[in-house]
Amino acid sequence: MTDVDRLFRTYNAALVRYLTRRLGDRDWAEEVAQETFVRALRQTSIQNERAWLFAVATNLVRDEARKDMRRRKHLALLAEEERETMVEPEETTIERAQEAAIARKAVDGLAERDRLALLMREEGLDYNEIAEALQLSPGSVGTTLSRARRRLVESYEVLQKSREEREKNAAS
Amino acid sequence: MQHLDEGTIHSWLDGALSADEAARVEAHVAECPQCAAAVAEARGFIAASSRILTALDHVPRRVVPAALPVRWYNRAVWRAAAAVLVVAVGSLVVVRSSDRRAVVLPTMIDSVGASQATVTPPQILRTSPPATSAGKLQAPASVTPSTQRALSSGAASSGKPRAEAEFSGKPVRSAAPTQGGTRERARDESGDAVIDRNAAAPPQVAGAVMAAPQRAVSSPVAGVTMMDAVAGEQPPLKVVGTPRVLGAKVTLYEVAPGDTVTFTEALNIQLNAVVTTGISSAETQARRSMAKSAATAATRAPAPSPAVPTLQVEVLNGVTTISWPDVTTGNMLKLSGHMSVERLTEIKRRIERERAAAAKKGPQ
Repeated sequence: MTDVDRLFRTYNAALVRYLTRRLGDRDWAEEVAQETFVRALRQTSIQNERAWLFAVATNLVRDEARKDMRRRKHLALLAEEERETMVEPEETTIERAQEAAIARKAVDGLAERDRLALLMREEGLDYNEIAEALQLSPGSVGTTLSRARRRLVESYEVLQKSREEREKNAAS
Repeated sequence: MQHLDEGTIHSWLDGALSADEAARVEAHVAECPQCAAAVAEARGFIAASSRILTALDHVPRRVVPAALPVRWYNRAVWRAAAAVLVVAVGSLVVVRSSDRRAVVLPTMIDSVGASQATVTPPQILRTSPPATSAGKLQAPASVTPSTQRALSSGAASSGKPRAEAEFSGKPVRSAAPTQGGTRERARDESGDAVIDRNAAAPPQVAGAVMAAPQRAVSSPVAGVTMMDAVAGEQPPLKVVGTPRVLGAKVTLYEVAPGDTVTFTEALNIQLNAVVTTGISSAETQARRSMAKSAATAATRAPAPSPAVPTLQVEVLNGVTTISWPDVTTGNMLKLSGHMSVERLTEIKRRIERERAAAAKKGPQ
């Protein structure tokens, strides 16, 4: 097994999940993850593999988002086209979809650094890895994470409450 | 020791503190209720944020999550298509089932007809009627030959074959009650009440449809007697369908259980009369138009007799079609079914009689 095979098998799932949560698009997330592993191939040595992979993936998303907004728009169009004919493999209830939409809104409302730190932590990165990937001091990761979690939960609860009120008004 | 800050609590819960730091935090939390509460709250935030982030994983491929995916079966187009399909299949089943009955039973009916030895085109009947059998029928009706001639239906016994062929079919049929008549009576006993009403119809109405104007004034008694004679034999025709066809009025009659004929009236009338919806309105309209034609015929009664309608016969793939012009409206009328010409002409008479009865009832 080559080194990149091992890297892929070890980190691909977590990286794709992290990127999917970050981007809201599974295919785009897989593309970015693959590009991340291609870049890892070019490296002679990587000190902290996981931190490096998450940092590169994060930068790829950032660079790509910056330089190619058109591609994203095109992707959105493709997504809309496919939605016309798509039969979902997994049952998605309305409830679940509404929950996902609120979660997305709450996550998008976070500061970029807080969001990335939280998503990386969720993928099992330790404080040092997060610090390395995001170029933070290790001591500030706890503060970043605590802030991110509190804001995420509070924002989610506010959104949830307003949805419930809307539904209540619609029903009455 | 000072109270723990939130970052430290999260670091401790995430296992990011050194052993020394973790031990100190643990000792403090054990003593300080305020920090213990903060730790509990932090645990809640960690669990909740983890759950919220999990909700992000339900993202379909290539889909921007802002809008919900539209299910294919929720589309109005599909629902409309499904509705059309249901209606189409339903119609097909109805049409097919009535077609099948029309195919299966004629052999039986024809065999009855054949026993009467009358597989003869109407043109021949016109010149040489089946005098023997028709005579038998007409005798109990006690109608004189002259009134019968006036009625245009007693051609057979009058000895002078003047009457139209289509009216000859009736006596032939009625003359053999032991052959076909008994069977028919047994089937349609429920229709007797209606027949009696038809029989009571004033003769001028029947006369108008039978297209022999002079009888309307000349022989009311004969007309009633004649109607009585046939009423005992003939149940009313049952309308089993009125398929909508542009430019024509089509009626499916069930002449016997499982035996149907198609009656087509070519329409050359105004648009408002063509736009019919549903059976009831079609019936109403039929009554109205019949009332009109009856009235027209009644007013025209003293006028000279119109030309004798010519009857055309066509047999194609076992389906016999007879067509003739309506004397009052001039529309082409067509009757087709899997049966002999005689049986069709007999049914033609029945249809005309019922149309006359409907015309009488219509204006009320």
